[in-house]
Amino acid sequence: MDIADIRAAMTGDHELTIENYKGIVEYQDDRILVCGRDQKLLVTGCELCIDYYSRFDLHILGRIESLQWLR
Amino acid sequence: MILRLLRRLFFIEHYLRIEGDYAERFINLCAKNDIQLEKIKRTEENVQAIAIGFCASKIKELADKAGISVTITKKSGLLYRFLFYRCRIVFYLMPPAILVALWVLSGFIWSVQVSGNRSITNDMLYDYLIEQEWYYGDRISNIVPDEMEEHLRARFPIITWCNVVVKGTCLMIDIKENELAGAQTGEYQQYNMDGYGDMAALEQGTVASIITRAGIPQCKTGDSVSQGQILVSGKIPIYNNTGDTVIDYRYVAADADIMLQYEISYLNYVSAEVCVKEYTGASKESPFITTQLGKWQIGAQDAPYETFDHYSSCYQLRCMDNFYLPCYYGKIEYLETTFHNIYRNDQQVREILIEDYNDYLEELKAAGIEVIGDELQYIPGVQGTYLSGRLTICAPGGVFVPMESSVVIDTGTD
Repeated sequence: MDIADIRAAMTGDHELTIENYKGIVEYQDDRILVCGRDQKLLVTGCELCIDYYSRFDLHILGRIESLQWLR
Repeated sequence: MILRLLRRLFFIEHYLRIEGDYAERFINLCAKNDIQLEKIKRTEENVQAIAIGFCASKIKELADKAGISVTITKKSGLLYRFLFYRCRIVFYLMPPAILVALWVLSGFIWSVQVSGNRSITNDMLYDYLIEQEWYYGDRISNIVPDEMEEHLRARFPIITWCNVVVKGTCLMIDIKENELAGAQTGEYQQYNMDGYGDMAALEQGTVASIITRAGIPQCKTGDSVSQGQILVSGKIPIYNNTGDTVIDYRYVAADADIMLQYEISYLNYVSAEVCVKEYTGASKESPFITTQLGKWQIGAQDAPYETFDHYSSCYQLRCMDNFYLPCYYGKIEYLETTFHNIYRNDQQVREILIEDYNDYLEELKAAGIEVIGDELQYIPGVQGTYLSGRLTICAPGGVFVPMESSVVIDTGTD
């Protein structure tokens, strides 16, 4: 496990908490692209909203359909 | 929820409307500058978010850096309200008005605490304090502690020591009563020993024991006496040298421990049908605040249930230890009750009668009365049972009877 990896924790298909990221690249109603140091995480779904966003963690709510890891 | 409430109390929330193509850059810049964003939601035209903290100027700066347009549509939070009302004169008048009100209230008594009283009840003391205008709601300047102590000692002779202190808005009265005066008075010996007199029989019966301390006994153990008969005489004859002629009388207050044996009647009735109250478990609470202006109650004010019991707890508001205010708060708890009849059989009724009788015997024993024998019987009634009969008891039976003042002859000095 690399210390720089993005960490994602899901609760059901409606909550997702992400830590250890650098920032948001793209935010749309149906997709959110989060980038880390070496990778990116693409969250797709519908009615996605960011419950809170800070330097340390990010909490996404909505109907999450898939998570895709991109390099 | 508590954290959100605290946050709304101490922080300002800015409702943002973000317009532009680089909203993500703005969001990242906010995070990097420790501005927490919440409820970020993209709509058709823009992105909406809530920024927490004192960051209005910083938000503008970051918006310019990200090349987007940010509009603060709304601000909320208690501190923001303070900033808003700082332009209102009421904001500046309110703190001194509160201080003036507290200063005015501090000149009155709002709490009275009494300690050390035993035979003098609180109500007796409060009635006297109300007469003298030294009670709840009266001016503290009316109270001179030394003068008040003298008045209390004069009004209640049983007080041997009294201390009055005013602390804050609380009047504290600490008294000490004469304990010996209380010990001399008992149920069967309530008399004034200052005068001369005899001791007479309280009831008709038989003398069980007699121990004379002053006076001449007129009866002995085993004698039958009638009610009011003199048992110890306070008139002592003085004889001449030969001892056969009475030359004078000396009068004393007769004093003796006399135990009489006599009968008393006993009657008790227990019904077979009784209405019993039970709690259903349903309850409602209603907090309230009471001041001199009135009472405000939240929740159930009229009868919340058809039948119910209610318990109330009430506390007085105070700023510091002894700075009480004329404001009370508390809550009333309503407990729903139901009533239904239960029917006891003969055995249960008799058990209750026996239990009541045993309680009665305990009361007699605590009063110093010995029960020697009893003749009781169960008598069935219309809807219950009686326990009736007579008890033979041995109880203090002497009562002091003062002599008439015209009868007393001045004995002079020896």
